[in-house]
Amino acid sequence: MAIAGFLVHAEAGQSERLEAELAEIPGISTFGVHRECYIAAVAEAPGNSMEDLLHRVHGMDGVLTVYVTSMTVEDELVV
Amino acid sequence: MTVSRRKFLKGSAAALALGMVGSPACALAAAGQEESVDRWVKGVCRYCGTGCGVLVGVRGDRAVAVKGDPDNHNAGLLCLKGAMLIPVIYAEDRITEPMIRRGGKGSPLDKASWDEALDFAAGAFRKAMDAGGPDAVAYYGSGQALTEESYLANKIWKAGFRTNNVDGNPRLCMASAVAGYLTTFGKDEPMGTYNDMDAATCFFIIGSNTSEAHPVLFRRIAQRKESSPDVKIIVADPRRTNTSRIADLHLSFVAGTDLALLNGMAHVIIREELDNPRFYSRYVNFVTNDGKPCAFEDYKAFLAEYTPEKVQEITGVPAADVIRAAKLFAESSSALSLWCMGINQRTRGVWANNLIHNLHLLTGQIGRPGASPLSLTGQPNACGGVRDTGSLAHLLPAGRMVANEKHRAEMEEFWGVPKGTIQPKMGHHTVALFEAMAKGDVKAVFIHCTNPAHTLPDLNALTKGLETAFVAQTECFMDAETLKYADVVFPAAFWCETEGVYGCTERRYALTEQAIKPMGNCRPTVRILMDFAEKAGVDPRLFPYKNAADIWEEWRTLSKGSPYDFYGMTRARLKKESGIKWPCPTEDHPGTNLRYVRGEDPLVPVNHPDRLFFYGRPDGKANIFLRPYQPPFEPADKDYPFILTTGRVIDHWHTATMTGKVPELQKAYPSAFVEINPVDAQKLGISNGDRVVLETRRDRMTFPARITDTCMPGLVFCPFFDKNKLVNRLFHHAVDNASKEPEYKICATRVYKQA
Amino acid sequence: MRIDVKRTIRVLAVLLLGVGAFFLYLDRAFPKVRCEGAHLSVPEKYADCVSCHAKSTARATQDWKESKHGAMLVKCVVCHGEPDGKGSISFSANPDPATICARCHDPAMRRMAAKFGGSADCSICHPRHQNPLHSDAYQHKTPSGKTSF
Repeated sequence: MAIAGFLVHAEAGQSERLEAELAEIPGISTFGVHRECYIAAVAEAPGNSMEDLLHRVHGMDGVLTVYVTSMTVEDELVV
Repeated sequence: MTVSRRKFLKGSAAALALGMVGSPACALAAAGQEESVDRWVKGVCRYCGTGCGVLVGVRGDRAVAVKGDPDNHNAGLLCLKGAMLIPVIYAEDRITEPMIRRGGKGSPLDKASWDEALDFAAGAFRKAMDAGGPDAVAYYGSGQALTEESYLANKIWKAGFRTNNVDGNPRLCMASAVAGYLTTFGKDEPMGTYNDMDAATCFFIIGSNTSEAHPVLFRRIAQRKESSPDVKIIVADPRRTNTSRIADLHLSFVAGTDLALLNGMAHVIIREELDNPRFYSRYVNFVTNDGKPCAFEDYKAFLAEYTPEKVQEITGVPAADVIRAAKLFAESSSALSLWCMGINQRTRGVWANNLIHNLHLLTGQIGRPGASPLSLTGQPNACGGVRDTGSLAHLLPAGRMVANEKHRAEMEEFWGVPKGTIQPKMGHHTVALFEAMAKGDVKAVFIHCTNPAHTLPDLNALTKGLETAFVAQTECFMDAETLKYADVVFPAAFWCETEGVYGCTERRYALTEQAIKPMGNCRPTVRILMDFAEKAGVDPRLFPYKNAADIWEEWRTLSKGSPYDFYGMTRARLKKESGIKWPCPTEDHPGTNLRYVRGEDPLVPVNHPDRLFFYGRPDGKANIFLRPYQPPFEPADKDYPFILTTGRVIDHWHTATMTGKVPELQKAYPSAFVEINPVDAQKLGISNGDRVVLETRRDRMTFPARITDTCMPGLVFCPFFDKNKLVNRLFHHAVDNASKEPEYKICATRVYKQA
Repeated sequence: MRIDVKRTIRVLAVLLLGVGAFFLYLDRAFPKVRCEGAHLSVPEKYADCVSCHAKSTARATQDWKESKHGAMLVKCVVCHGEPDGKGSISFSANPDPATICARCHDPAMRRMAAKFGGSADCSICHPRHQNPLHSDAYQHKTPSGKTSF
């Protein structure tokens, strides 16, 4: 089980919509839009699919880039 | 309850992410708020020969913004250098007080008053002339000086001091193009304009990195290509630069072999019967290399050896590409050639210019919208300021020659000086001038608006002259290399701190109006020149001008009736419009797009029997010269197996005394590097960033390597802007016999990794 | 389940302090490694935005490279300014069209406004960084062509 904190840098005017879209994705919790373009979020996914999840976020419409701020992988936490 | 481990991890991940939002790395300044502007003042960009119109935004007494002039040819567009001109005006190292080196060369420069500085310089000039006569002094000017400044200096030195030692840095960049136009068409300057770019269906760009040296023109060419699938672009350059991004055909030839390529194209054009006998039988003389008249059959026989296969052998360009290029050029409805330093800065520069003109004359691709040989000028005012005013050692204003008695008499009469005032002997061209300074023949020189200690070729040899002669210099920025040799420094008003005219590539004269007061104790150069000349003993009646506008009035009047006629460009009209293209003989004339063409050029009689009239030549016809391929002065050989070439990068202008003050531009290219082809790099064991030694017969210098396939194998490239890497030290100073322009584009070098 | 309030509060307080201290540390630590540090160039090396942003904002960089701005070498700093704030153009990740785009495109913007009524946001029809060399400039385009990490 991996837990990653990240910031999504959104294109202008897209952040509200993106935050809503992100919150819909299973395993992702969002923590608000900051400075009008950064969405703070945490993703939780099995270790071998975390990368794909982040790729998916990066490829979303309106996403400029994703800054991963932390990544923790815990083998004992079995979901 | 314990907080679960998972909750803890998620909580800290969130906190971290949120923490990063607060970090300065993600802090945003408020979106750029352009300061509000009181008024916009019209002008011309300080940089290249494209001559973009600009509007300088002034608030109070400060210039705060620059944007493109929508009414000039650039339609509001600017390149990144022009867009960021404001910080240059307010650079911290602006020279704002006169300076004198009281203790002689090597001692420090001290502040001085204007009178002190002017007296000091004038005294040195008088002393020099007492010892060696008028030819012991000289003026070295610039294609960045205002037209009024160059015209005034030319008059003062040739009719006042009575020496023809008047030359300038256009000798180092455009002299070959001048001689090319003169020998082929009889008069200098292109016959087309930028409008031709909107009509051409084939662009032949040779020896020019247009995308970095003339970015706004590059955009116009790219836009033309986008507008129609029929538009084809050929780029001929030993380097595959950013310019080639829009090319349909890129021809990489071994540096210096382009003469063979051009003759090869002519060969194919005749062989494929794409030449235009109707055109050349009417408008063209065929002339051998040593100036004797001949016939088309002789030209055809001369070209017989330049088969595509032979050209491939000499140049490395595949024979099929030579054929393709020739056909694209000749079969297109309108072919426009563009070239710059790759063709001009050569010991065979004049010949190369002639060979480009040959292609147009052979096919009749000339004198029609989109069909023209258009030489791109490097500096903003080499054309208007130096070439047209005749501020070179062999010229007089408006196309006159020092050696021509009638021309001298005309100028003496116009200037109101006694007959015989102007010397019949040509003065020193640039390289000869600095050699004469080293020998002691020229003892004092006035250097205006240029940086020869950085830009002369073979610096180690030619800066000796700066060490011995007395140097009076106008300069705006403390980091100019030439200041190391200056005995007196005059702080000149910079760009929009004074008013004056620039004449760009397309024969457009445009006025920069004064936007702000000169900084500190700076003065307009015309004022400096007049005060200096008077103190140095020149009769002040020679320059009865209150300001630059008075000088313009005189020059405008002089041009009347000459092939460079711009009498219709009054100061008032220039203030109203955004540049006008000469010939413009009357105030209601709109300016000329197609020179030499009946109905377009006001200097061609309306009832002239032919559509074209090359009135610069006695018989009204242009010349096709039979110029053979000859290798450069110093080709690669077994001891020095690489060719070194130099050139520009988009972010820097010349010696970077201006662009180096703009943080964005300086950061993009803080220092020089050497471009090496990956194939060569691998053989030499060089990786990106490695320190590489370039060693020529003159000197040895080290550069960080940039591995890129821009250069073809066997060629290395260095930009010349870096004052800490004076790459011109590596070059020889061989010049073209006719134009006296040095060969900055080719020398032989060793390349190896620093131990 | 019994909730030990006191203990929970204590743990949360420690957590908060720890987290607070941690991001205070992050704020100050390793300036050269963080993205702000990367904008400080080593004088000898060729440094511009593209070399890092080709990785960090790959799509925008690729779009720019293939666009007219890329071909014309309208580099990042012309619109965005310098991130260390020491440049001649104020830094902005989202430049304001009225000031930045207008500096070069003012005549065209006025023509647009006269014909079709202006838009405060040019990128509605001219997507940021995307003005491909071969596009029909007057055709409405939606952002497309995502590139990978």
